[in-house]
Amino acid sequence: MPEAIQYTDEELIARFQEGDEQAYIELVNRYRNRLMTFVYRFVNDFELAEDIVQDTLLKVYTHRHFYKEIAKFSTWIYTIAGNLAKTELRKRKRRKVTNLSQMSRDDRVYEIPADDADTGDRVQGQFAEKQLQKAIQSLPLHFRTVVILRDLQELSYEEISNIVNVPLGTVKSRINRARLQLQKALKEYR
Amino acid sequence: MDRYQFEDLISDYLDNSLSLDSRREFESYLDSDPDARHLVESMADMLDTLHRQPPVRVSAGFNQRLLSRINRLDSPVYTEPPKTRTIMGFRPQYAVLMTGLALAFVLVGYELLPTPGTPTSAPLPFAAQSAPATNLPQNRPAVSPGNPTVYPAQGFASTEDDSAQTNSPAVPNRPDYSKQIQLVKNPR
Repeated sequence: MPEAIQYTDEELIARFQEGDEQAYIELVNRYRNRLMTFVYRFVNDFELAEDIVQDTLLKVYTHRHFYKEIAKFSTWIYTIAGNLAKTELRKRKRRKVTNLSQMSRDDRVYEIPADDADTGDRVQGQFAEKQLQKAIQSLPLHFRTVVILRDLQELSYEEISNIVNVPLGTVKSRINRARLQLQKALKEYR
Repeated sequence: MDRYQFEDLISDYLDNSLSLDSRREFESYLDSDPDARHLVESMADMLDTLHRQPPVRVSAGFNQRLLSRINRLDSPVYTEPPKTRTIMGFRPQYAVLMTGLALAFVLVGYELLPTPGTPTSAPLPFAAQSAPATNLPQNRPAVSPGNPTVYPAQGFASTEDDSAQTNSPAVPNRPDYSKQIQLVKNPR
């Protein structure tokens, strides 16, 4: 596949459906970090988030023919990731067992975002980031999903409405209430 | 505009999606309530912080791991579990089991049901003694739905009155034991 041509996501999945595996690689490269951001903010666990993103992309591979071009590809892939993340959270809630082995099994190297600011700013930034993550985790799942999709992934209201499968008005209302609740939580943590 | 209406419109205000009139009304509410203004400003800051969050990146070797999982899927070692067929909602093995059980139930039920011409219970001892099996007709007529077979009452309790009247004249060969019975304190 020539790299000079910029294909849309929908064109890439169409090519992949026809057997072009390079198109799949391109989709993986486009979506892996976006999905990672979404899922990590959702489940608050790097390893679990990465496993979910892998499962999502694997599902795209195995279920490629299930995609029909009636919706945007991003809507489809975010729906898969969101459903897998919710399922995983439900499973964890049911188990409620702390797996201590997880604390030492990390042999992966995570890329920490490059930061040119000095150490003081970085520490402050990390602290703020932690507060933010904690505040996001305090939100109920249906608020958490929409606020991540809107304010971190910057998706449109229409797209979020398709992903979470609720009417547009409900999405707007949920985002507004989620933001208010997030604001309140951040105030408490500071 | 009250507090609830104000809170409902914050996101629309920050997204610049309010109509001109609503925006004017919203801003006049902000002018009248410093707390409301503070809330809107702090929410704008929060959204700015959220938008500035760096993306979370996958770890090194992510693609490699993904591709090796895909290769495992494609390899002949991996076999997709076959889709289980169902028969009326049951898996085949359970469907066979259920059918067997149903047949057994029907067969047992059939065996237990009384058939026409067959005594439903063992004949009374007295009647059995007085009417041996040799008294039964040898050439029974064929049983058919249009020809209900009626056997003589020999050897069986009367179907009219099944209280087994032992001195009934309907039992011809009944031996008379009355003279042989002796009570212990019989004056004879």
